[in-house]
Amino acid sequence: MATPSLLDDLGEEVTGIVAPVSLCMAVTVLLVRLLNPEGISSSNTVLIASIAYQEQSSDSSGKKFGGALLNALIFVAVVAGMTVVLFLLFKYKCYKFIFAYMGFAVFNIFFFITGALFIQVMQVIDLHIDAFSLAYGLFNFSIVGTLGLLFMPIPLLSKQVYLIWVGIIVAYIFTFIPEWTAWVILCFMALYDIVAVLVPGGPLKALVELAIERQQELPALIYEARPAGGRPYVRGWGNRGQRGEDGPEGAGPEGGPPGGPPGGPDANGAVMAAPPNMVPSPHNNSRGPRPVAEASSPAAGGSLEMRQPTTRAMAQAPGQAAAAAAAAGSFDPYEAPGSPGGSGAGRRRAAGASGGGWVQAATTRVAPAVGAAGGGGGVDSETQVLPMRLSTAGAADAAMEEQWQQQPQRLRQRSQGGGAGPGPRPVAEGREQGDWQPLPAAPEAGAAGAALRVRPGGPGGPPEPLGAADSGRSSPRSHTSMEPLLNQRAAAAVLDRDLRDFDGAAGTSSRGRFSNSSAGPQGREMRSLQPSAGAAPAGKGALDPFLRGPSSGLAAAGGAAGGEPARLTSPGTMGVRAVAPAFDAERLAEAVRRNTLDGELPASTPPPQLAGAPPPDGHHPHHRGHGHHDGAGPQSDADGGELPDLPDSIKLGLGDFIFYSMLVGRAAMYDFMTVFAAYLAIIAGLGLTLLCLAVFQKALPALPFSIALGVAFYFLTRLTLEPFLVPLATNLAFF
Amino acid sequence: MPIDFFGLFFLGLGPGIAFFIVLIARKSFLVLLALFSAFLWLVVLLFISAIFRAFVPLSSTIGPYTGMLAASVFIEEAVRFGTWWLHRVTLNTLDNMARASGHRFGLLDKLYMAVAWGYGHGACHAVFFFLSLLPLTTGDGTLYVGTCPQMSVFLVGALYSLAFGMILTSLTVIAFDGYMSRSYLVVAAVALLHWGAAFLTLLNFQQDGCLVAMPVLVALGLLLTGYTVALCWKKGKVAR
Repeated sequence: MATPSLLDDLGEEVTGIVAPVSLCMAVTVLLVRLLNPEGISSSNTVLIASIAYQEQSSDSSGKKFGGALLNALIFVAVVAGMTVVLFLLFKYKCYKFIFAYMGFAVFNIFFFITGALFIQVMQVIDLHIDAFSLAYGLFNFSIVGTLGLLFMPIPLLSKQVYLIWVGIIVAYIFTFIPEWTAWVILCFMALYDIVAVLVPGGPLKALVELAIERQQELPALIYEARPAGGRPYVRGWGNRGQRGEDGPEGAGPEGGPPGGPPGGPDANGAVMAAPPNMVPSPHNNSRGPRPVAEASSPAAGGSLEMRQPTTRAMAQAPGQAAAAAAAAGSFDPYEAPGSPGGSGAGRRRAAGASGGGWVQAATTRVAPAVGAAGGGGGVDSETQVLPMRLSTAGAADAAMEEQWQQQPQRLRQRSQGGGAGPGPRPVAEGREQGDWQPLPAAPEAGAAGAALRVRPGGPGGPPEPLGAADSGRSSPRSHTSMEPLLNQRAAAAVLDRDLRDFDGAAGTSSRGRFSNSSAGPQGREMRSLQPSAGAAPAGKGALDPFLRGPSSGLAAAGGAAGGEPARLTSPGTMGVRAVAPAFDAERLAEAVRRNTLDGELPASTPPPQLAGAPPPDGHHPHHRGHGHHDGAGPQSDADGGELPDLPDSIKLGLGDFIFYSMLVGRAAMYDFMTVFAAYLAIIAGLGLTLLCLAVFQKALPALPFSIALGVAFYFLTRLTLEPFLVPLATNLAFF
Repeated sequence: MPIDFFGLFFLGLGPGIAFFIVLIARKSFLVLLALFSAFLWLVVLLFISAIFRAFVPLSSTIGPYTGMLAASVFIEEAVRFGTWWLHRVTLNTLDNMARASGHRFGLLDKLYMAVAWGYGHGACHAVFFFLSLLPLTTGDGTLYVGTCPQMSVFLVGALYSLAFGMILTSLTVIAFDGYMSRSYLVVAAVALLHWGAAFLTLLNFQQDGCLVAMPVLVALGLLLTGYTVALCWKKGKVAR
């Protein structure tokens, strides 16, 4: 097979975001043209946007502008206010309330508003549907959407579809904002986004910091693109993150009965750009902290989150096993495509690769919760090291690790997602290889799985080619090979012990969490277990906050889980299924060898099929991973002269979707030329923002560039392009 | 009528969309490059329109429009040199990346990129000259110009979109090849071809001129596409 071309994967992460944004805009424009061809605005649809001044077409421009300014100020103030409210709720631990509210808002969007729009569309296109079918379908759609976005894991594609749907609906509602007010609101929201995401102080930042400190996910609706390169998508905490404020955000101001979730603006607020955190890597404490990108919960502001690919990728590997077990069905599609190199493992950086990466990955997700902890060197370490520790701990730990594996999947996801939702997730930077500790336990774990797990990707592991540049290396195996070997009994025992320990430390919340975890084969549950598992050896206290992290979601959902008393003790609740190891003996041995070859991992060895020289500076052809060099081995530092790199999967807050689509929808009310001009401008702005993301490696506000360009191009098109092109076209003179 | 809309949509943009799906959508980078190229050419269009803002609407005679077309094409050709420069920079960067990572970045990839640049140009023109007016046909009306009672304005736009999509895409590839091989004759020929195609549309000012101009433009597009294919084929052979 010929060497893969550079163009094959380059930019995949970006199209993973550009495509859904384009889709959201396209459907919004379609809805606007279909249902509102006259471009009638209504001051009553979005009450919050028209409190101070109701626009009349007969007013003078000055009055309209002044009124619009006032409206926009109030709108932004409401958004900020809701962020404060959210912050307070979060601070006083009213997680259930937050999730309940968001669930209510999202359900409204999916059921009432979608239903109303659907009926209108049916009327316009002259189709008919009976009330019972409509109610049935709509109800199912709404319930699945609400539960899937907020409380339960559903396949990534479904989640993406639902998120895009929320964006479409809210944007469509926002197009009813009167014209002047709408444009001024867009500008003000872009400014607010900058302030909220970048300026220290203010409710959004405080919220993010609190989330980091508590290692708790913030509820937020964030769109996370599938990891590029076919890496498996790890469902994990990330999911939790997806709910979000954004949902409410959009609807927020709406006063109508369906009541867009008031949280709307809030969601924006929720966006946070957490400043990169330094998360010391557990193993490699000597290395020093690694910069961590925080995922902010994007809430409306929609900051782009950077996820460190490495970490994430890594997590994937183990995660896969877990995931496979946990969510076999949904998993496969995600994993299949990429798996081999794709898997996050590839990511890069494997530099540290092998172990490090994976540790990181696992940690990542965990990390966010955990890592966030500033203090947490220990915590971080823990997380990071989790797998490691497990291995060192011994056989029992191996079992734990098993559980852990499952978690990473989610973690990965999260990490990938970048802050998926909840709060900022610090994403650990790739760790170097050096961080990786040999897994003495691996052999003792006995199961190939243990080694398997530990190793991010071993030679066989889909997730990650050890140390190799991700690009080339592709694990031959599919994710299924990563299925953990699980010694259920041991795992259960360990879990039990952990629980007991943990419970002591964590208290009831963890209990609840655990019971949730045990809920089922969902990775999520395992997730919470993981931390505890990890915690056990590492030190529970540190993990407590971490554990709490998922709990919020879990707790909320947990109403579902219900049971307070941990059901964990029964092995069956672990949701881990023993599966024959995919690795054969050689691969396992190799994996072990690799793991232990800490500094000697051929980080700079190009993937076998690649002929080229090893990347001198970890330059990733696919721009994956962050600046760690493979070759550098333990040191590579984030910016060692590499080209800036984008995280493997970019997260974009739903608020960004909403305001982009609102802008384009508003442009659609004038003419299609403005639609296309605004669309190209927004995409260009998005590209520019992603460029900055790659360069600055921290969560950034996604609104400013796009809104600025979009608004400018809209008015320029209206002013100059249209009077020029239309006569040309109608006179049949073209160039 | 909606049938007008879909018919003309597929006539004018069908081949372009098919081309996109088959060739460009396969690689994310090309999609992004095409989007960037379209954005760039939109900026150029805005710039041109800003220059002419004071003069529009021109009287519907051939003279002013000749001048306007000449100036517009001149600006566009000047910008084409700029896109070549950007293309060079990108090629260098990607070359380095490929060398570093061991991936292949060969002639085929460079041609892909040139095609993406050209496609962005063609798509931008097709969208703004044609697609932005097409939704008017979803209503109940249509529009004809006196000098061309045989084809509606929208049909002419569709044919333009078809023809110029091919022309502009091919011209970019040919131009980049000319720049690459320092053959400025080729570059000049490209500019002249663009002018020629634009001036051909001036035939539409003559009564029934559109019957000649539009098919000739489509034929020119096919010709240039064939030439580009032959060029790429030859280059590929040489490279091998």
